[in-house]
Amino acid sequence: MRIGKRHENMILALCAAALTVLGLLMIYSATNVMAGSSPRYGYDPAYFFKRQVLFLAIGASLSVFLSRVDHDFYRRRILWILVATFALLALVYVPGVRHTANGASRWINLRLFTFQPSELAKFVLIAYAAYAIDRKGENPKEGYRAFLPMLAVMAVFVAAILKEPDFGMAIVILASFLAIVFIAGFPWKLLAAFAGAGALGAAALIAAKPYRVARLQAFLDPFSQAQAAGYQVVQSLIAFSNGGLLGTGVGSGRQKLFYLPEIHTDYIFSVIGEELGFAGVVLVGACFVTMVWVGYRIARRARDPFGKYLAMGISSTIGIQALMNMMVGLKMLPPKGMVLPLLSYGGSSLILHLAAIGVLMNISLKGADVLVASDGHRRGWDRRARFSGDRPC
Amino acid sequence: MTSRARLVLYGLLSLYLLIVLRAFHIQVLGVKGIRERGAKQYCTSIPLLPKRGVILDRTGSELAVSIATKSIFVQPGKLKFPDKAAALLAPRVSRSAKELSKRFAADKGFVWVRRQMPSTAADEAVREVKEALAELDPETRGKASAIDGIGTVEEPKRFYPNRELASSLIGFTNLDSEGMEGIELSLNKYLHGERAVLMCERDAHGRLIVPASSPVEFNSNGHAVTLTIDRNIQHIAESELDAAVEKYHARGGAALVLAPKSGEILAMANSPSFNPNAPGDAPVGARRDRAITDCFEPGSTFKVFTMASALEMGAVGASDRFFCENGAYRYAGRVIHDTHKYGWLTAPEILKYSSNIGITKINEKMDGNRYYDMIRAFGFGSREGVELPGEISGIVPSRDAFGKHIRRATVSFGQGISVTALQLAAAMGAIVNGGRVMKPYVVREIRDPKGKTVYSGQPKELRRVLSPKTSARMREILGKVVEEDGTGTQARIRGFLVGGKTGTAQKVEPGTGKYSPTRRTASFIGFLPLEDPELLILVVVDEPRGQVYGGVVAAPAFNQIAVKTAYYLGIQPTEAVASALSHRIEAVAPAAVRVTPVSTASPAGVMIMPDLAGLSMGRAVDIMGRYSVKLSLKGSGVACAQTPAPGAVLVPGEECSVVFAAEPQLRLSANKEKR
Repeated sequence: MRIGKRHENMILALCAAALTVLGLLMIYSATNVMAGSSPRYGYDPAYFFKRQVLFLAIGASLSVFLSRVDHDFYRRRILWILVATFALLALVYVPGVRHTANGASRWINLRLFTFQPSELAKFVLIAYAAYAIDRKGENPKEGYRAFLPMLAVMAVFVAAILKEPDFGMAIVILASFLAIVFIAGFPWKLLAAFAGAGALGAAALIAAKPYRVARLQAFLDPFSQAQAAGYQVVQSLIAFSNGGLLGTGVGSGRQKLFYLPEIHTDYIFSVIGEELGFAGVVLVGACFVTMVWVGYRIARRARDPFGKYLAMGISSTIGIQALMNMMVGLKMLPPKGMVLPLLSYGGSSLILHLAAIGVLMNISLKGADVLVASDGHRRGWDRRARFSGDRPC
Repeated sequence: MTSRARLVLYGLLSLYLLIVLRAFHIQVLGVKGIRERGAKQYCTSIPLLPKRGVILDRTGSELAVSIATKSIFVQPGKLKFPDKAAALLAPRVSRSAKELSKRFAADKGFVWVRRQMPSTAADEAVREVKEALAELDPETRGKASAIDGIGTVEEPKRFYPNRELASSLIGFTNLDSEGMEGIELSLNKYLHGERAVLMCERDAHGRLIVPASSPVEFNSNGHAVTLTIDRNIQHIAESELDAAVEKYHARGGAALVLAPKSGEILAMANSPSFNPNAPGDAPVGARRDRAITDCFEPGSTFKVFTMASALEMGAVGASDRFFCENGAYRYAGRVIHDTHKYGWLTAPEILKYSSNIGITKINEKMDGNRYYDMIRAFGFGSREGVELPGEISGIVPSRDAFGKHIRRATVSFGQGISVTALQLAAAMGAIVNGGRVMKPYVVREIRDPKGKTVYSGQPKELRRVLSPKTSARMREILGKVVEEDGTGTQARIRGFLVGGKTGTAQKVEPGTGKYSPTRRTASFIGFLPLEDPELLILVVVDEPRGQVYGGVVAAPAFNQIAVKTAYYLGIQPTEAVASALSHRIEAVAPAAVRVTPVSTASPAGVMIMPDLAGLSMGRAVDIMGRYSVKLSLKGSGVACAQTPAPGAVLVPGEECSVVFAAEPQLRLSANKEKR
């Protein structure tokens, strides 16, 4: 059977639905004891669950809406979008407006809710990269000239995000950026230099703060400081270990009993590992990989280069962030503080990821019905076709 | 798809495979160290505070109970406003705010604020303080539960409802429920109960979740100990002893009531005594059980044993006559004196008039070795082995010393030998019970928490020292002591034939080793009924002033204890004089024991002050002991006034006072009218 665009969107929607619903379940399981015993959450065991349901409703509606909005809108309005996003990002530095948690000021305080502009910036930067690649065309020789302005915009945004600080988000953005510029055919040398500079910068950032060095050491040998810097890593591993093959069953995990901090956000994957076991880990991972794969298929038959790179960017971002989060939970990467897309608790993340998937679906809908050209062939883009699609309302 | 896109896709796919492999390793194969660490961190064990067993008297009345109390603690590190908390707590726990804030400022994780308060009071105090503290911080306003660092913990507290009653015998515990003195100490391992441990799961905050296994029945409570002591007899003995000690401004005293046939100790009174609910308030000296921890030179009471030994050996006959040298007898380089001048006396008369010279001459007729053996056989010089801590053995001169005549002579009238009150009473028991040395004991029964008897105190005959014939002759001789012109006339009880012996011993001056010219130990040891003794009573008064003779100081106390105890136990008066005494006993009767049905079980656990009017002190203490209130008693006789009034609701720890007066008939009629 050929997998057409309807099928692809269906797979995408099913994966997203499976992950978000599973996320709801795991969030309730992870937080009901904590929220139910805390006056901060009004002793409501379903406090986080209810909020996440609300976020899911908003996110899903937005996703359906954006799947109907021609993605060319973002290309045409990219500068405005960039400026607006940067303005939001800047608000994080305004006392009184910002919201600080765990020593990081990543949120804008909207009283009832908080908004994390860096989640938006992540996708906006991807869109910007797709726009820039589209502008330069597919000529590799244009590489250096096109790359530098991209780098400048990236640097400004990433610097602002790093300053919050949100190391994890910065890494995800840079890695996704690297992935799409790599796919776009920029010269190897350029990319190697970029990656090398990024690695050096990361090393410098780590060396600059003693606590980051300590965290790295704790990552390398968490059991030597299981009660201090290595605590989260150790507790996450214990969660996975408890899970075994099929898990302890939803609700029966014990690590959520205040052993594992940030359990409903950064470490929701550990709860899955504990309560659903190895089977849950494999399935959740498979859902994400499937989404990336579908995203790349969509990109292949996208109407225009902007759509193609945007689709690749969105799916790479989701995949990279998901895999990185999983690797942190399994002590394959040092802890950075990033959520698991679609599963972790958090309005900004859930709504924006669902929105991104909506955009992905739109690219799919506007794209060719089936791929005519065989794999490996570069298709000529019909530049006019860009304007033949639906206009944004 | 471009090859580069494919490369990225494959890269992500291989990362996914790595994740799956890693998860398989940790989850399915298992990594050593992780799994163990996980299993360990959920388990916690909570020590279950065992409830200390009760101590009961022989009638089943509670002498010592454990009540649930709560202790307030503070974790200074968790307090946001330590000074404010100190100021709020101080008045509720009656401590100074200054002292508390000093303690809260110390670098400690945990400090007690006040231990063992009534549960409700402690909870209320903590709740109020938390509420007040919550108001200080806008973040926690109205949310008292958000205040950390103050709390209560349950701690059972030992409570002695009868206060001073038998305090030196029962002893007391420290705040951690460990026995420190008396029965509480010697039977601590039974009373304390096992330290059980409950295995629980816990969360990362240390809060317990659910028992790891299904609920197990924990029999960690202490055993219940029943004593041979009778609370009423104990009360009688204590009040009479106290009266004697007070009347003669003595340093102290001890009184013992024994059942001579079995060796059971019915009462063991000490003066001064102390309140075991607040042992720290009493001087250490007041807390010891003098009857077993102190020894004294018995003086003339010891003549009984010399006489019994001589009779048993056949060294003298009951009708043998001895010349008592008119009060001064030069013997082995010393002069032995009598308080009165006597000429010829028969052996029984020597005891009756308590002649030192006469008993010296009887002693001369005995073989020193055998005399020594007899004294040791009576139990002198060795511990009686009663179930109480701190018993001493007394001092008996060595066997060699019994060759030296002067030492033997002084021992024969109770000088140069030290005994404990318990030894004296136990040995006297053998004299009067037919010649069997019974082991004195105070523990009647020990039951485990399920009610199974694990120990049962039984009469134990250690050895026979006298033939029943000698014993009978001794009873007859001792009966004469209390006759008209004997030394113990004040011990006489109308209606009962009693026997006994007085003792007035010079005390050795501490330091010099010489006998004091003024300090005496006055004692009286007696028994009743004469022919078939049921009760043996010893009263020892240490350093009485004014009067020093046992017959004057101790015999009246013996008399009172004997009368009241005999009536209480229902010992039939000796027939020959039954008619003569009846009215007197009756006069005593209502005050001593009048059983009034008093309902202490009130609805819904509310404590209602009972009507105590007309009750004896013992009975009043008995009833009020069931409430956790402070009881103060005044006067003697029967209860005639009380606060609060009958029917009032009692608050735990409330001060209740009862005034007693000696007008039984009047009060009784008045009460009847009132009802």
